[in-house]
Amino acid sequence: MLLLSAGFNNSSGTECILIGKDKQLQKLKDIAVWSSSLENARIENFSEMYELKVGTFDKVPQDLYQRIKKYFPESTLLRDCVIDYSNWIVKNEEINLYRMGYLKDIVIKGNNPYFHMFIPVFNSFFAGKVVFQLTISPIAKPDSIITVTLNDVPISTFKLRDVGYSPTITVPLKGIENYQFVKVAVSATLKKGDNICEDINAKNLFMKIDVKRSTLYVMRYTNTSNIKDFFEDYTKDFYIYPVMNDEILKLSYYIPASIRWLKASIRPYIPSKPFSKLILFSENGSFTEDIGNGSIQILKINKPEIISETIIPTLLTESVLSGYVLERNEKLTYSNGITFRQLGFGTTTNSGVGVISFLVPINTAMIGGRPNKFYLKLFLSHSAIEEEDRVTLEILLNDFLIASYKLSGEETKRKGFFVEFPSNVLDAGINQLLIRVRYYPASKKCVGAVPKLTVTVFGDSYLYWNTLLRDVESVKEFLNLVNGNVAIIVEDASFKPYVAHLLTTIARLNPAIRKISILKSLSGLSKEKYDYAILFLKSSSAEELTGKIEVPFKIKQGSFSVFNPITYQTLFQLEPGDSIGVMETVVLPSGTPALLISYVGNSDVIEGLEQFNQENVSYLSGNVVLFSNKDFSTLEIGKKFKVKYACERDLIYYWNTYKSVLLIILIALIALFISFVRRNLVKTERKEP
Amino acid sequence: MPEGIEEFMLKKGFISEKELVSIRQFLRENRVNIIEAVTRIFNFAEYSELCEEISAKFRIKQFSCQDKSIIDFILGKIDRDLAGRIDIMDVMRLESFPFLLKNNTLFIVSTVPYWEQAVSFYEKKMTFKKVKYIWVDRDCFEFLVKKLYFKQIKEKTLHGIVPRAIEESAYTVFSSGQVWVFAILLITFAIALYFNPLKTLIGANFFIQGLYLIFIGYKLLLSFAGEEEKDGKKIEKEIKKLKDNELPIYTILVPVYKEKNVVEILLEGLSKIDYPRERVEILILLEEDDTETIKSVFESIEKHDLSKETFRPIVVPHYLPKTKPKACNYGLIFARGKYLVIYDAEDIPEPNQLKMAIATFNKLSQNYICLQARLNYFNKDYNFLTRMFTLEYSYWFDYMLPGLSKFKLPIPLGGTSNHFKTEKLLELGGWDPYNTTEDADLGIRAYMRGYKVGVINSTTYEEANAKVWNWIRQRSRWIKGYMQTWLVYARKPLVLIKKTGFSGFLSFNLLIGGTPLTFLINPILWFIFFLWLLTKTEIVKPIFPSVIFYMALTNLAIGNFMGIYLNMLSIFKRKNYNLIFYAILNPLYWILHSIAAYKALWQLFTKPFYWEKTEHGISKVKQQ
Repeated sequence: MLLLSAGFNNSSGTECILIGKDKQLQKLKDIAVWSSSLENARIENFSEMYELKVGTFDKVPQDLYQRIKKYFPESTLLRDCVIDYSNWIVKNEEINLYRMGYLKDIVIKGNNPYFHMFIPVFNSFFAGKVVFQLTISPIAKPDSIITVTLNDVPISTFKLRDVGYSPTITVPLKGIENYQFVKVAVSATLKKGDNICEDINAKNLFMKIDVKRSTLYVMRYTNTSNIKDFFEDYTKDFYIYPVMNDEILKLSYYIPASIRWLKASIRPYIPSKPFSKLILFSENGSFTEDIGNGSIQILKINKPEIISETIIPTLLTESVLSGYVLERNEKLTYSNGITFRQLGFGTTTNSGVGVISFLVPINTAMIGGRPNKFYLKLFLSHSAIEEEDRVTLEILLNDFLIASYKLSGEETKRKGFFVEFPSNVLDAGINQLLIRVRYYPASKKCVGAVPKLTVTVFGDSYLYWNTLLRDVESVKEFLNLVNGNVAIIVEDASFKPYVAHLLTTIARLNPAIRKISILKSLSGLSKEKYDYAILFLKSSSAEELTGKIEVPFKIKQGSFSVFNPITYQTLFQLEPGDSIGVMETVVLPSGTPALLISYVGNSDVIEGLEQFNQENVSYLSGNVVLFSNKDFSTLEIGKKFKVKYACERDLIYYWNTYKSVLLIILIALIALFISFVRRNLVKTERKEP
Repeated sequence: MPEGIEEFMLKKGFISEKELVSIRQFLRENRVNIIEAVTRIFNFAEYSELCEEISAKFRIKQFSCQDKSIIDFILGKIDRDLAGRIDIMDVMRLESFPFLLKNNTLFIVSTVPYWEQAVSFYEKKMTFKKVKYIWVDRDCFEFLVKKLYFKQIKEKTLHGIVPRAIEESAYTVFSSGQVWVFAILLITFAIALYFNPLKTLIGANFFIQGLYLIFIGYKLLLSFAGEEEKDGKKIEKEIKKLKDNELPIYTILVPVYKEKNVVEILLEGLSKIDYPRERVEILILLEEDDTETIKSVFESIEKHDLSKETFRPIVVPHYLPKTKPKACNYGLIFARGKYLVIYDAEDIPEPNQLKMAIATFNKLSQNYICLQARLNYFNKDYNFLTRMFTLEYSYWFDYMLPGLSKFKLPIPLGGTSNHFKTEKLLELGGWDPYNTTEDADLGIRAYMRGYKVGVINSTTYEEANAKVWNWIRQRSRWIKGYMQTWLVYARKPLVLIKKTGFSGFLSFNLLIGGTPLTFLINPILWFIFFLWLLTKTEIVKPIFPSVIFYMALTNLAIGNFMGIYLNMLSIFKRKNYNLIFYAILNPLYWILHSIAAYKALWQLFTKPFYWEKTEHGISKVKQQ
């Protein structure tokens, strides 16, 4: 590992605030927790004195300064604040829930909404806090309570009347240094009526978490001492150099696929970015660990597989997201199966009255494809259920109720449930398996102390299947299911940054690609060697390829339109001279399922892929995606829509071109015919035959 | 006026007063003369004896046309204007025509001299004080009538016994109004196609599919309604009650053209008919230019020593159009029966069919003027085509026609075995000689006059067409006839609705108009279907939006199934179990229909009155 020292100075202004200082770094921890959310919060080291500062600013905002002063009266405003990154030994990072993979705001319904997340505690962790931005159902009574817990230990509780219905709740991360991860949970007890039974049945009680404004703030050490810490850190962005190298391109997939608790980015190297992590590719070099003095950490490698095959499996731990540390090499219990733990759901216990839910995300990428038949063996236990209480277990997949059981019994023991899923409810990508226990106590228990029901779902519950279908029908399916050995052909070097971006996007969805191979041409692409292929082709090559095989969209130069063959309504029209990027699922002559990316018109349009992200993917249910700039349109061509190419002359073309002439001919023929009929077949008087 | 023949026969004791009353009643319903009634029909006297007595009494000699001088005399001396003042139908009814009116004396040529009924008729028509007769035998009389009344006969055979307006006949294929309507529709379609081809084609497709759907429903409804078994035993009892000596004269018309092969079968079949010989006349209608058949018929009558009073060959003179209805009209002029039936040359009717028709007429109300017997084939196992034809006819006569009859809808008569009340047939004006399904046309015309057509449970066995091209020719004639019939009555749709009612109007359009239309459209739809099936082309998809697609699917599935199912019904009804497999092949048979339909359409514009002759006697298989 090599740390370079450079004269970075990208902060504007010269004023900053010194909040606290001490000879012992650890004594600044509490202040660090508090100030971790402030701009450029860091601890600098000056001649054995540690100073916690924020900023720089052109002029320190007075309200900020007053707020800081309120909590830390000894803080001082520094007018001539010089930035020297080499002095920074701790700096802040912020990672919101969106960046952690929660793409949509989280809405939890019911009277006992509960949300938890696991946060890794890396060696670089110094201090931090989690801030939840919540919205509570306005029908909840003001004496409803919000509780936050850290590793299941309550930290604080709030009444709605005190914090309002859109509270910002902070969970300081203290005393967690010896953990590998920490479980942070926020829950609420929402009331609507005067007794618990009314609350259980109340509709419209919910808690919403804003994923973009709910954030983890961490103060981390800047000095990383080994390769494990290079990857296991709170840094979101990794830089690569040289970017045009085919081999290093693969890192765009390998790294984000390995660091899954946050959405890591792989970007081309920017020299001016301080405290960034650079992976330097050098064919002559070997795997080295150089440490220097500076704010850029450099990992030098000679082949990218070293990341996926050596560094990650041996040094890193997985599933920090779930809070269950699973060894990478832990063998599957079943050859065609996967446990909840492997899916990121460890044994979990919840208590409550009303609805008690357990959400198990199932990523088809973890399965390696779309199963033909799909089964669940669920293990759970629950506390005693009295005869008069009603308790049901519901198993839902993607909001479809798959099975329901009545729970009973006063003995607490592990129970097993077998469920077969209809194959059509399983989507490619992330699926939500919801295990929901509904506990309705007898009405006589509604007032007063209501006994809670405790339910444990075991992490060794498992899913299994018979065969996996390899065929893919939509772009979304391809991106979610691509796995195993994948060949990539990039015909034009200028496409490489977009290839990297696409690979990163796939990695965030789907870590199941085992090996990426960069090929020069289609000739080496055999079905035996490669499970899938991704082709970035120039339009001329794409035209040649799509001319030979059955594809939904033939790449042809010139304008085209996509229309509904039933209503003849045009859905998309490419005007002559315009350009458009095309992404479509195809099956290559070798039988390999592939994603073809090319363009019609100018190749610059491929730049639009830069805007491609995980959110786009969820909408790409068609077999063809047309893109330009930020617009990604998905179309089901063949089954629902048809393409009319300007270069093809069909019946409609000829009709439209010649319809006037045809009409005249038609009317002339009708007139001739009528004249013939009138002359020969209409008789007004009898004649001798 | 001198004493008349009836009075003479009374005085001479040939007949009693009571018998004369019966004879007069008989003569009112049957167009025979009194001499024939007294002698041959009622057998009160010997013909030769009576003639001798008449000759002696009235001092008159009966001439035969073997005496050429009498022909020359009559044809040379006759006042043609005077003769022309009498309608041919009266001439034939009274078996007399005026010869000369000179010095207040009217000279009449007749088979019955001094017949009071005739004299009284002429007294109303012209002024004279005395009447004198030239007495000729019946053969001679008919010969002279054909010569002298040719113009009138021709007029009536071509333009109706009761003259009808030009637009009431297929003589004009289209009326001016129809041409304009078709022109406007075609041009509107072309313009719509110009502005919005897709919607226009969808609209046309919707119309076609809708028509099919309605057509299928209509046929199903009729078939299920017609499925009910009539109680045949009751009618058998009625037949037994009929007494031979009370039966009326029954005329059988048998138009024959180029049928020398089947003459023997024909005469043999007809001679088996269970009906008193003296009360049936079989008019074998021969075409003048068909010398071979004429020769064959006369030889066969001679050979089998058949009664010339019963088997009467009538040679129809040559003039256009040379069609079966024209020949039938010709025969109708010479027909004398109260009832009349038409058989084709190769027909073998069930022996008691005439009696069954009379018994049924007696049972039904007066407005039933025609009864259609069922047709079936004696050579059904000859080949694929005859089997399919048998299936088709079994279904048509066992289900469709009874269904139409049950719902009191217009029945398009079949070309043969239609039993008429002659008087009503004359009132309707006979057949339209320009229509190649004159029978269907007549059925609709009768319905529009408020008359009804019934169905009798007796079968006439025919020879099914066994050769493909022969079949297509015959079927193209029938389909062209349906087109002509539809065009005739569709000229005045409001009149049609008024006279047939809305259900009759719908039924007429579906059956007479819809049948050829579906045959014409079928190949287009099959082409589209197979094009899609074999190439999976998307080109036709736009004109099949979901509603139309499901309609088309229903038509394809239900239509085909129904065609097969209904044929199977008739198999079970007639116990022709060996034909079950062939019911499944029905779609193949429809291909032939479509070929015939396009031939018919072509001929409608090029040779509208051309009568495609069906060749008979191809299969020699006879009914056992």
